[in-house]
Amino acid sequence: MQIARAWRQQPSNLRLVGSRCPKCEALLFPERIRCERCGETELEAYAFGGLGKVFSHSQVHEAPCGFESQVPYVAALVRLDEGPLVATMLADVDPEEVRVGMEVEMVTRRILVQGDDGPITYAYKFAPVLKGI
Amino acid sequence: MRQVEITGVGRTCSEEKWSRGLVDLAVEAAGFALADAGGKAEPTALVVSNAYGGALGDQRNLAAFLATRLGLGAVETHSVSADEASGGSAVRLGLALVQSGLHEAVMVVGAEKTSDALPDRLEAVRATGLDAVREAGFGFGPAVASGLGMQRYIEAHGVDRALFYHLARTAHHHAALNRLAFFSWELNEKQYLGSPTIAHPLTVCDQAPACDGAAALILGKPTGDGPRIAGSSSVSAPTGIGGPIESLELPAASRSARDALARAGMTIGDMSLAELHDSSSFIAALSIEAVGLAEKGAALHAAARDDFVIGGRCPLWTFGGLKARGSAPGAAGVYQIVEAAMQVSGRVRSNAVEGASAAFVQCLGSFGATAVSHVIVAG
Amino acid sequence: MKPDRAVGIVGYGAYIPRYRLDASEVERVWKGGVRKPGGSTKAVAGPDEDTTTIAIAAARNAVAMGGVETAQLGAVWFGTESKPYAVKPTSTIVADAIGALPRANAADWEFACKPGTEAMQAATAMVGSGMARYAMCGGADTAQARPGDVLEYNTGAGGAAYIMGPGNESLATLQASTSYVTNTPDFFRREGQPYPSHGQRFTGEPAYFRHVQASVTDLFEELDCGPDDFTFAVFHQPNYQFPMKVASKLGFPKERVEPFVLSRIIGNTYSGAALLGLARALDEASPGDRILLASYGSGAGSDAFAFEVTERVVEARKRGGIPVDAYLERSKMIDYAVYTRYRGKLKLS
Repeated sequence: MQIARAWRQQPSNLRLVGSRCPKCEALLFPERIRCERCGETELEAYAFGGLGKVFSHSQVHEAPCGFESQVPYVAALVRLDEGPLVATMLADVDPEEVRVGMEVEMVTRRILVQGDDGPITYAYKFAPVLKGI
Repeated sequence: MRQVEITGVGRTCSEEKWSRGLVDLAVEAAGFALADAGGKAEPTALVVSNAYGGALGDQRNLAAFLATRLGLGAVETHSVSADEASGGSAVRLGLALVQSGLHEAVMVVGAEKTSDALPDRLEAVRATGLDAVREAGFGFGPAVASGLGMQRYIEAHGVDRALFYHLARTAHHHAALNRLAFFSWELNEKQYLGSPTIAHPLTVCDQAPACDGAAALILGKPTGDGPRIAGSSSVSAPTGIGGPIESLELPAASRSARDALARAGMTIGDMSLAELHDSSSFIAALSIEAVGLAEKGAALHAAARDDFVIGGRCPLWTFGGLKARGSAPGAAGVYQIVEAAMQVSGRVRSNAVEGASAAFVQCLGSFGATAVSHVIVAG
Repeated sequence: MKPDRAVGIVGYGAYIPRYRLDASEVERVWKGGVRKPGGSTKAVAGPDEDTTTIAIAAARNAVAMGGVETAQLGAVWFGTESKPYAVKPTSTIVADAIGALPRANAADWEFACKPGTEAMQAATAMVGSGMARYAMCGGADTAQARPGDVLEYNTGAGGAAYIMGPGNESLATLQASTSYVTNTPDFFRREGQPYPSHGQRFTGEPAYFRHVQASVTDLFEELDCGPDDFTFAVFHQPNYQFPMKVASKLGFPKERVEPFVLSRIIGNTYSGAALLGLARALDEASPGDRILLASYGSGAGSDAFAFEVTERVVEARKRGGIPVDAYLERSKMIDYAVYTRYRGKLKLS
């Protein structure tokens, strides 16, 4: 049962927190302790806005174990508006409706459940943007 | 580059070997290689590659256990784990141990036991060769990543999905001539197109099948007439499936190919054959383009023209490749070199590449983040 | 009950999952059904959804509308009867997701279908006493019913969140609230049981009707007002008949009540029900409107509230949030088989 690891990922999982390098202004997701581009180690927490576009998608029929309860799911790469490419699943959309370039926003869903007595990992998926008024 | 000689080779059948465990598979292959070297070699170092053992609850520090079973005494051992590039990395390490003068004879063994794990558990372990937190933790494994990649390739290059068939066809055609292959049969288009979907549009036939197997070789100073390693290079690219999927390129594969060939004083055009990393149709297509065997977007057309079949422009996967010889991932990189070595020394019968004098070999790990290339030439 | 300082709703948000099961499907599988589809549906949570994810979505909508800095929330209080963890608060996960931690109280509330309105009273008290500038309350559920039981026709999933804050920042100010609670075992679930038990017809007069009528009557007395003083009235809605009947008994005309009974579309969303009805009323309301809210929770009790809508409702809607109608319109029909898979009713191990 993995508890500490799940906890450690909460800021990025729940609030899309990554890092911003004050030196070279790189925006990195997920959080880093060292900037990949310039080596700076005093990075700032940066909460990404949650908006993005579908870059690539594939409907999964055979999943690695742990994910079979969600099959069929749409695996996707989403390009956040701020730049980074995120590996994720799409939510609330029929596979045949998905289009590359589709505008999506982050939603929080159950990603993984560790058995009957382990923790539930809540993390990001991306769903078509719902319009307000 | 100071050449190193391959003085003995061995490999087990690629299969689901229910009756044999990981260590014994390695022992078997090592035994073949030692016998092939005619008992002349007394390796003082043993480098063993294995990708999944520890993660599946199987033997870790495999090299130490193999050394004991082989009665190799106080040998230096290294256990190498680099996802599917483990075998190539192990060979490179073995090469360096000989080139440096630290050892006169080094044995390299690659082994993998996948059939003890159920397929979905195996895929979850394979997934940790990708980003363990951000990709594996979010429902991505190599199959899903290749599915996404295939989708992009089809759209970006405007090719018909059915064209990927020719990669698998090529591999199977050669495996049908290899009695030690896992899928030793021809693949027809109907079977390919009817294959179940794993992650659209990737199907079972677009993925190399996981199996058990071990391969071994003995490296020594270039004093005899055995095949040589004339070039070697290991290069990395940024990790993350996004890179290859977005660019449809494998920069580490390109660069390590160029470097290895340069060190051998050769180009890809000089190669009589190549053993590339066909873990999936997507990676296979990109590999062909990365090493310069086809222009970007043209790999499938080249395969359709029979460029890569024995008798064609540059035979690939001459024993079946990962796709049809089978994928024992930690061992794959060593199998490739054993097969290449056999080709250039004319030791192959039905699937021989006539007059083969130079072979290019490449294996990749972590979706192209690690690329290890070697050039094998006749002695 | 009134707080010393003026308190009201600064922002609110709703969330309803997109899947719908037609009641005729339950009928078909369990009774060899003759009911035609299209009569009523219920909202069903998807396989990756639960009370926590619903509450988080509603909370985010409330924050978007309220424009509140979440670090200023003194409390994040959600009520449910379908907690993903029997022990471990859902509210801490919601609070974390919206950035309200670490300096906030976060706890889960339970009182069958009314813990959300209890939390609303408590949030009002926290703001009204000056202990916090803002406090979030809400209710969400993905309640289960025994397969084939009458409840299965309409146990739905959904939730809503409300940010209580100073009256002069509110889109609707609270005039007064009452609670009427007794020890009545009309509907309950024993520890470890997957499905609830209920008293069938006993859940009517001695339970729902008695308590809702009592809390509303008490509220009328406290404010010296009557049904004609309200533009809209929202009642707990386990089905269509109960809220319409209690409204009629209390003297409310049908047209002021019916648009906010969502149960024929989304079923009974338990802790989310009354609060979702209120959200729709607020979506429709104009400045100056007065809205009555009366919840009901088995066990049993009812909380009643009187709100007056302010001019700030117009700019609040522009600031953010998603109207309830957008969620009602977003729907994907599923059949009973897919429903049993999504709701974990199949024995997998």
